[in-house]
Amino acid sequence: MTIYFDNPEFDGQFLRALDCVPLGAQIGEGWAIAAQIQPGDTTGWYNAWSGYADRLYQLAVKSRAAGHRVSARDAFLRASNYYRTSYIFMFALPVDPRVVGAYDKQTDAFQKAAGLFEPPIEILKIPYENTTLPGYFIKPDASDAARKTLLCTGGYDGTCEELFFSIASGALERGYNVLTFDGPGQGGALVRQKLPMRADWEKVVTPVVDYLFMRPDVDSARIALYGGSFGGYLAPRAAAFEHRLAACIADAALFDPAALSNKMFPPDIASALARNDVAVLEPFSTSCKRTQPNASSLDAACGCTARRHRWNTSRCSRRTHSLM
Amino acid sequence: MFQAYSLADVARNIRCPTFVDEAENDRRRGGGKDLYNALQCPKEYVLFAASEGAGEHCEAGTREVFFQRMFDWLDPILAR
Repeated sequence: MTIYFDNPEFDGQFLRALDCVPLGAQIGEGWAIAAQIQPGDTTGWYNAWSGYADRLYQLAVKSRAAGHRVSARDAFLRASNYYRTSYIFMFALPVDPRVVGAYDKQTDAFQKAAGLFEPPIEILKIPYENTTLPGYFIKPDASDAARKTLLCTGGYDGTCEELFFSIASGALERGYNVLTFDGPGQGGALVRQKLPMRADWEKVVTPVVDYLFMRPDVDSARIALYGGSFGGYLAPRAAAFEHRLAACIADAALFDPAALSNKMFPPDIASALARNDVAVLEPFSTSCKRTQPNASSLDAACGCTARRHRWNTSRCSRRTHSLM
Repeated sequence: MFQAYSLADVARNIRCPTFVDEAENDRRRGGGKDLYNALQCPKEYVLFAASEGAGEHCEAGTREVFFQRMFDWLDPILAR
């Protein structure tokens, strides 16, 4: 399915942004932004999305100042999603300051909107090991009744703000509470806390379930775990160990991402990956970026340690693979 | 290690009902049917079709199609 761009990575990210309609995107705005972007120009992509988000953010501030809470909230929300979209092709090492800046803006815009919901979206810091994880708790209405709850875990290049757009609406309308959060290797936990992705996701989900168990407005017997994108691996992984969950959803399910990646790599890279041999992986990653300026290769879920290569290089290889 | 990113050895330990889906044209598709087959718990498998507009990664562009299929499965499981 081609929406706008011939380049499948551009088009996929464009569709991902538009998928956040109605609160996180408007189709016409998306087309207007896309029209400013030259094929393959990741800087142009960043400028177009972040520039439009800046405009919307200013409009939101103006609406808020004039007492128009709904208009302000909705403009902050779209600004958030457009800021997130702006840096997606720059999500790589070395860290580009534009990624950090746009990440901070997508978070700030969302949190400005959070306070304008009725009831307000709660901004969470969920205890995790020696730190906390960022997240949100969203209720379908102001009642304190103990409800069924959808716990949402995303992929390796998304944010817990994006999860609000992509999954929360469907759950809220059906009477669920929703909790979204960033685990290690995701969103704020990665960009701000520099926590790299980890395979044993039950170590991440269990503290979040502990948190839900303490809330009187959560029916602890009715917590379902949703995992989207790479969360299609992470959620079932957690459910294999965390047995307090009442159900698990693997959306874009993955069974054996390690084996899948190994098949996509040239053999020398696959074996370097198995050894986590950074001396081999680093030049490979760099060459992927050079040969695919569009891809930027997304040293995804990277963190700032050598461990980053475990997942990001596989994404790089997928793109390489798609060109072969 | 990167090899740890696999459900091959642990999927059978999942006890709760599990919904497994993938989308027909998803370039990042990775073994949804294998996961479904490995599960020992109550389970559901859905392949979202391009013909209903839901063939892209995470059914992007057709959230409502995903919502209907998934929540119609989940709601009764969580019914009191």
